[in-house]
Amino acid sequence: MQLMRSCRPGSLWLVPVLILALSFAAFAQEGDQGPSVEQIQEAARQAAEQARQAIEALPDPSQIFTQIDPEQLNQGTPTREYQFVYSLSPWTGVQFGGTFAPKGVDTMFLMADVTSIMNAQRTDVYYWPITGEYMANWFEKRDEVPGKLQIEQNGKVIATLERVDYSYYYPTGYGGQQTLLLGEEAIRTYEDYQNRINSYYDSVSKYYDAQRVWQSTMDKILAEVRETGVPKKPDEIPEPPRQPQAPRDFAYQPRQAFAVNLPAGRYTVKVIDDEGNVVEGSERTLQVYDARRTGVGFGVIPEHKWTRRFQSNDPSDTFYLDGTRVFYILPFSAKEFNYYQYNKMTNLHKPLEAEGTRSAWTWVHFDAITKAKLQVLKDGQVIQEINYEPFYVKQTPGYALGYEIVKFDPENDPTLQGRAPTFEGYRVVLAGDGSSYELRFVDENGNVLEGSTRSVRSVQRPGNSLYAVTVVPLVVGVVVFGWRRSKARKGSASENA
Amino acid sequence: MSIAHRAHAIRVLAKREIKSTLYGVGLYITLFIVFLAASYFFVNSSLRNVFDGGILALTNPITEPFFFSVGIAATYLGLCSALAISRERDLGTLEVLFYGPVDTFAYIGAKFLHQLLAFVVVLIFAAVNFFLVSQVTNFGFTSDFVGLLVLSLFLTSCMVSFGIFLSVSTRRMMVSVLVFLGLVFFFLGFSAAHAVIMSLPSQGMTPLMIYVRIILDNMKVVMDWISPISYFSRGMTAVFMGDAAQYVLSLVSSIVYSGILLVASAWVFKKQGVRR
Repeated sequence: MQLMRSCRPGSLWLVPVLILALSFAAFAQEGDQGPSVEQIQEAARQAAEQARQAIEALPDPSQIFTQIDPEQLNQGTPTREYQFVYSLSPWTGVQFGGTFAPKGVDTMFLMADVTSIMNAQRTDVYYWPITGEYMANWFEKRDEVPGKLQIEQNGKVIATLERVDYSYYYPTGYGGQQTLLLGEEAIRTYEDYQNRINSYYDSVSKYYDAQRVWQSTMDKILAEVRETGVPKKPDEIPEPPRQPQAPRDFAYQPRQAFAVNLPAGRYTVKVIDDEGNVVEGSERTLQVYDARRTGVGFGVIPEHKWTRRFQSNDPSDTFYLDGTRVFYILPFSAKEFNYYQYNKMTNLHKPLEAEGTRSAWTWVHFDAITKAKLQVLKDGQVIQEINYEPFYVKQTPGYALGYEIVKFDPENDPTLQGRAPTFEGYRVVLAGDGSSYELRFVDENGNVLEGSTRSVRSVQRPGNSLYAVTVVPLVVGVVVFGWRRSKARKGSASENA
Repeated sequence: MSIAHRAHAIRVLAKREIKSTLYGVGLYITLFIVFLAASYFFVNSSLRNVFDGGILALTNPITEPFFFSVGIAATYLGLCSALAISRERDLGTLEVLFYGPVDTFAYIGAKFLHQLLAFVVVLIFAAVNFFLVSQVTNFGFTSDFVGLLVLSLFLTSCMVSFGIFLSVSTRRMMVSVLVFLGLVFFFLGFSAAHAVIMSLPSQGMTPLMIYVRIILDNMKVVMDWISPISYFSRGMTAVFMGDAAQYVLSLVSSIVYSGILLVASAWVFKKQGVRR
């Protein structure tokens, strides 16, 4: 538990890995002295138990992001106040963030039409002036406020939520893609994960057992070969046991909280206790916001400057090329949100965060688009369809600086074996002959993805003609002036006549 | 005075003044200088950025210089409006004029119509200039640009009515010019300061800067109502977002803005009288 108090979100995944590594290191150390089978099994059992405890102790994101650091408590004597707070783990489009709404924060923010986690709790809160944020002492004092979450809109109750079991699941491991599981599914997934972890430790125990047997067989074979000088045939040498693979995925231990999923709008939330009374301090405003625009964000890697990638989120952007260019597009589904609402959603505990940005907008990238096809159009006709592919950046050997971006194909290129692609995307080559093109993404059914169209134009070098065109009004002015003068002359001549 | 008589008076006065504007060389020289500056500072700089980067994603690079050009032109015409009434009052021309078949509404209407007609001429030149620029650079002359051309007429309508309002509100020519220029610079300065502070990264921003940002963001709420530039920028955002409803709303709000200022100008003008 003490370890968890000082942990930071990014380092949490290290806990089970560290325990595993330490257990095996301890085992390896003992291995030299020849541990018994029972000792091996005991080490594996302890490792499994420690891993289980570590997983169970992993706090919710709302607590990870806002927990008092023990070191901070030694740096001053902030006044802690035991108060009602809403802890929130809102879905940000990328992951579940974490914040809490202490006393005085009247408006909370959530994204529309996605499920976010919200809980009503009491804890010690204090203001930490150095970082300008409220922190909570979740690990020492965290009391769940019993009751239901009542959601009202325009004075009408539209939902009354009970706490439900929830868990976060990471199919590709902690730090990767995050999925929220609710109810039975959360419990089932966690139990399945635990079972796989347990069977993994069982396999580890069996593996080391088999490894010992194999090692002793090998020792005997080696001794025999040394004595006789006759090498063994390959089929007489036993295969070493295979080391079991730890589960790559990760599941949080299920907990209980309110799962909130609402359409855009302004709501009032309050906690109603078992006697039907509103819990004091629980009435707050909940602003559920939606995206202003939906589109496709283009991450662009120019081949000639591959480290200088840039983004284009706005569908009204046009790509301008100087000459023939090769570039790679890494598309993401994207949404444009109000900057203040989006940032405040995960930073309610930081009073100054995003303040003064109510008129600003920001594009948020969601999932990478990998299944779509990129179409290149010229004069309204599709001239090329490009698929999503992996690429590898090869540094040029020798002293000269340089690199080459090649298609990642380890089967045909042995130098790429054992390596991972540098990036994945769509490779586009467009001629700089003054033509205009259009890029767009289409799904499996050929439908154009919303906001995925971009124009591409190759610019020309205009030279002085850029300035020559500006003389048009001057020429017209001179003509008008000349015409007026000649008219005036004619007028005065006719008067004189 | 009947509506027909008033309309006739507006037509005659506006025709006389637009002729005077078109026959002079001031407008043409101003446009030449403005277009030259726009080409050098904006178009040329975008071109250099594309040549340096090899590939760039930009909102049409013609937009900024166009906004710059019509902004200057609208300010110029607004300034002319601010000058016109106070100068005529100063010179006593106004008093003489009002002995004829001209009333307050006809006079204010004629001033407004004259400047709008002058801006239509500006727009024609701007359209030709930026079309040629887009051809020589291949930056593209998109349908968005047509939307901006129409929108700019409404920006000018706001600017001109704003200038007329200042002109009738002040009795001295110099005061109306100074107030007009002061406010235009303030609106422009505010827009620039707001844009700059919004572009700064929030990470690591000092509390002082955050408070400055809060003040500017709150001021923007007020500015959105009173600054003619805000009306144009809202319409411009609607054009780029392809939001027809917002675009129409922007045009309507510009008309309402101009209407309110013109009615207020007529009221103030009536109260102050035509004498020096």
